[in-house]
Amino acid sequence: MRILVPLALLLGPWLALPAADALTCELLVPRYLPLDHSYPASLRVYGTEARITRLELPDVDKLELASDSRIHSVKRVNDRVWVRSRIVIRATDTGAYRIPPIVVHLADGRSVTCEPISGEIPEPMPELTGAYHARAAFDPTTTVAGARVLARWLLYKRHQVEALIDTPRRLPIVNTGETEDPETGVELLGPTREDDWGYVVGENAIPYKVTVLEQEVLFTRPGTYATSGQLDYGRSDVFGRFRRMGVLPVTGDEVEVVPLPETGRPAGYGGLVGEVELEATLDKQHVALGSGLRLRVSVSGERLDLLNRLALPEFPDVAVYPEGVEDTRERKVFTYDLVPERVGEYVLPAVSIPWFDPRDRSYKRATTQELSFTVIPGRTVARPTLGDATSETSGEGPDDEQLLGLDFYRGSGPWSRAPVLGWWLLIAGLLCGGLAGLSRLALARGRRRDDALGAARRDLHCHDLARVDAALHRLAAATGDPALRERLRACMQRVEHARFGGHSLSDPIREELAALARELRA
Amino acid sequence: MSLPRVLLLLVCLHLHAAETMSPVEGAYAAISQGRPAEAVGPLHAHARGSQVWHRWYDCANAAWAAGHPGHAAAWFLHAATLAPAEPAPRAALAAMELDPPPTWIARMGLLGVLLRGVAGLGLLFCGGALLGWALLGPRRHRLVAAVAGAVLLTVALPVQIALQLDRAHLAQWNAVVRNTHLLSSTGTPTRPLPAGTLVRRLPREPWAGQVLVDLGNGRRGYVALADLDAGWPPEQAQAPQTQ
Repeated sequence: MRILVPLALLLGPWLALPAADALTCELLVPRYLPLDHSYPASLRVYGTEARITRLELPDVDKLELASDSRIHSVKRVNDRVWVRSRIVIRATDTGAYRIPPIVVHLADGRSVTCEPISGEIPEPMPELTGAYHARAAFDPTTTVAGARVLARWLLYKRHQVEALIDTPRRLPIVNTGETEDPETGVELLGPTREDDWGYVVGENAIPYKVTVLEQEVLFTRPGTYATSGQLDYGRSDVFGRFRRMGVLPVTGDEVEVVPLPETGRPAGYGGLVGEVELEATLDKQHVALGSGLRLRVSVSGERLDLLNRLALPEFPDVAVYPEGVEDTRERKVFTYDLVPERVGEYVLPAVSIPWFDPRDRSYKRATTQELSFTVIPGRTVARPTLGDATSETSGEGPDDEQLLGLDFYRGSGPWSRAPVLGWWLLIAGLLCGGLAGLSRLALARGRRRDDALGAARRDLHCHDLARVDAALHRLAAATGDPALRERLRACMQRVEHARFGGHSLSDPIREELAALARELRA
Repeated sequence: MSLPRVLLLLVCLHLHAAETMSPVEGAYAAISQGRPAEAVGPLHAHARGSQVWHRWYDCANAAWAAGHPGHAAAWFLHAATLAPAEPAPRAALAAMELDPPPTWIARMGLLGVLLRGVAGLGLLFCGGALLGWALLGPRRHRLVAAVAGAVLLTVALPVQIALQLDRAHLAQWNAVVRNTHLLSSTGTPTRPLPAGTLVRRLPREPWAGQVLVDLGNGRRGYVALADLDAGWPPEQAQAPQTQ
């Protein structure tokens, strides 16, 4: 029993979790509803396959709601299941509408409530004629430099007209006062968004579907800016390629951008327009003297590229070291290392940044809260003397006398040899010296052999037949060429014949010996 | 990918790594801002497992500035063990009013100063080469080479042997990292040992978590092994003393 209670407490929420978040309800209603037309809105209940048995439809001003119980289906996609029904909505008057929560009862006895929905029933637009219509609009139409403006292209397509509109990747917005570079002062924020707003009634009470292309723009310079252009409409062929059928002109619109007012401009204003949020945090609340803490000031807003540095107020008894800036489009975080210089309680003054509010055309100031922290004394610094092994805490941090005053090498200190390196170098020296000595010996031996063969070659020319015979013997033993060796041996026989016969060498033999000497030299 | 591209990529990566501020550079920045306590951890992590003496030296310097004399002494001693010929760690120990362990290289005076670096290594190599020539080279120059090699080694080898002995000798020394006591064999405290005291471990097996040490003046006793462990962070870092 003792185990079951905590087990149930632990596992109960986990087991109840799927059931708790399973049922959700959604009513899909567009932003614009057409006047005097019925719109079939889809009602979805997620997380069940039970049939919808009853809807508690409220009375809504300007709308008539009716349940269409014929429509019922169950859908399952990627383990997500929902049941679907339909509510027919008919707009009876123009203006804003709000559908309060609708309670949906299911066949398994459960019920779920849909979120309330707001929208608008637009006035009929008699200028909507034909199959298509397009116009541009700025929101707002007058603003200040640096404020964010929405540029919209509203595309109206008559109900049941089957055609595609080739939407542009970006809306053309130009500065009408600039001739050389028409996009001067225009900064597009993000890509163009496409959205379906619903329906509006046109000529002869025909509903038109409204598609909106939205582009957020920042005008950095005063002046007049305009947007207009044209759109292609057509169909896609069997290969999925767009085939243009016609061109739809877009009625343009202009926006007036005025400069920021001079009056009331605070000192240190850096050009920020739009609401700025400031938040300052410290990473520690308590810190020992000799240690530091980190201050992070986070700035959120628009055009943060204009904000390169923060004007921090004076922090008494605290050394401030800028550490770095993390920069994203919507957020900039300035980090500072703070090193307190005394023990005690600190209260950091608030950091503030002036900004301009384009809605009420006035300068305001974003301010952080005041931050406080405590500095406690540092750790033991003084060396205790012998006989007193208890630690002593100093009231202040390490002062100059207690520091060694030694320089840091910072990773590039002098090289110092390891003792083992000396032994290795001694062995390497022995090997190198031995190898060099052996090489010297081999070279000397080869040179001596070359010298002996040269002397033998020279002896071939002398008149002493014994020396000629000995030279021929040495050369025959030294040569590696078999043909040459045969020739040397033939000469040898003839020289020995002359030597032991007691007569001199004939001229042909002399010539043969001379030829051999030349070949051997070569 | 071709070899030049790989080399270019490696160069770019190296430059990027050089540009990126490492934790060690951050530690040095903290020291320059008067926050040595925050620098000890990164510097110790950088030095740990390394045989580069000046990393331990910087780490010890930061530990001293942060108020950890025991760790500072232990790491200065480790730097001296890694580089017995370097005077800086011994000078730092002396500045901490500690008596550095005696070394042979310090006793050799000018010879040790001259031959403790590249010059000594060069002499060793040249002496070895001359001896090798004398053993295997031509007979005519053997005597000259043998005599010259012997002379060079006579000069260089003592420094080399001194370095070898000093390293082995210094490796026996430890520093007490926190205030503790010298214990008798029964575990009774006999003498206070302030943090930073240098002790020489005697070659005995640890017993009951204690090890026999010599204070250098002939006085012996036991010290808890944990009081000689210069790891980081120390226990007291997790429970800082406050007033």
